[in-house]
Amino acid sequence: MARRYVLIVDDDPDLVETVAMMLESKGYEVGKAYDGVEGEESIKKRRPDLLVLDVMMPRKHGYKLCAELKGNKATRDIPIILLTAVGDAVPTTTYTHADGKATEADEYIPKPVDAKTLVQAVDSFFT
Amino acid sequence: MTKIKLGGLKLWEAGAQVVLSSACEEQRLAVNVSGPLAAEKINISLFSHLAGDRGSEGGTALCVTRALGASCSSLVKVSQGELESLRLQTDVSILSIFPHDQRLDVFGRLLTAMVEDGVEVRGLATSPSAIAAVVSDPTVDRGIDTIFRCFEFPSYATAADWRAGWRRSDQRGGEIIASYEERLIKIYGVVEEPDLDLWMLPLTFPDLANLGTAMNEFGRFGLKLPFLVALPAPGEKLLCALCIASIAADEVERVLTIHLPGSTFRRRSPVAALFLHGPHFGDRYGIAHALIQTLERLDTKILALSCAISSISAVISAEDLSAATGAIENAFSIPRARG
Repeated sequence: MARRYVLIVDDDPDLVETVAMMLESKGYEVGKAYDGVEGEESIKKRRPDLLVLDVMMPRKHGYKLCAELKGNKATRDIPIILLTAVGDAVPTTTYTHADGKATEADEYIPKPVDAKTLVQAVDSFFT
Repeated sequence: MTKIKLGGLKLWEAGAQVVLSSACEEQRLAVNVSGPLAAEKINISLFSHLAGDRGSEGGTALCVTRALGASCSSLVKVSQGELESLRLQTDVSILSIFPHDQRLDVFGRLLTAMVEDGVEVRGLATSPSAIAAVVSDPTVDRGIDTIFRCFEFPSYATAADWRAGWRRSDQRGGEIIASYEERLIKIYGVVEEPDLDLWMLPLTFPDLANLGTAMNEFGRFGLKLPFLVALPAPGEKLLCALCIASIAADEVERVLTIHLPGSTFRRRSPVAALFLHGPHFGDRYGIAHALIQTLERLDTKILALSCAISSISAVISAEDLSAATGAIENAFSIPRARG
């Protein structure tokens, strides 16, 4: 059976490498992009089975990319896990839950991300 | 020259670097350096440290936003007789490329090219994925051109493309800002890398190119580079430290002797590296302090430290590895992937 293809889009290269390592060890095929525009281009080249998407990124915000993908017939079915900078650990942020909800992401996980939680969330879309 | 394919390039601008040079082995980093900055809730963008050893030079360097440079400099406690010099550089930026995948040809190409192009390197640090170079502001643009001369990126064909994208994202930068203040600092995992040697080399700026050539040669032997730091040292030198597998010690010594014939390098063996993946270093004050305090309470000497991007890499004596990992697992929130 073909491996599921997960695309990680985050401008934090350490997070991308860590999450990629964890997902690869679970049998996923992983693609990497380091900002919103690169993520968008990568999706055009190859449609992922799931997208892990950061919010704060250069060139295009995660929630903008998410809204565009969810507003497009061709891509709206791609499950999106949004890594949000909203949570108990983040007292200072200009990003709000309302911003995230407007994007219609399928799952929100607050940063700092618990990598195990993230992997479980990815698994949940395929079981 | 074939360009090496990488994923991305980041620029952190308008920074200041506080540099401490010391011949003292016991610097008490937590009390003198990281503690006072954590108490003032100061985010550090890059933190590198190299312990002095048997009378030889050690040092510490940290980068903060330029506006905080002077106050950081005054917060760092300088004990007379112990710390010989404290300097503040108010014209630095950080260029980071990623992922390096521990490839020595990536490190070698970068160092050699930066010296060739006259990019003034004032420090180096690594994270598990990135190489961060502290460069003087007047040579940042040149540094970006150098990087595009040596490497290619999927999203940007040229340095001009990258600059245009960077400026656009810069304008948006103010729209979303977040900082992290979780009670127990969350990290994605701790990775141990044992069986390493720590090589310490005081280098002149031109020597960096020779180190780059040596790295290219190490790379041809299939070796990896999990850790590198360089920080300013007295006499316009850079104090460099790198970790390479102990099994290659003879080969490393031979190559260094050929390419850096005038240098006095030291080897510490066996050592181990600890990588704290992704604790959002840089977006959260006090992370480096939490690690330093944890290790110093154990009487574990930090031989070298590199905090860059969002991770922390520490080099300790191999015999301290087990206790250090245990203490870190208690001091930080880590997902329990095992068992």
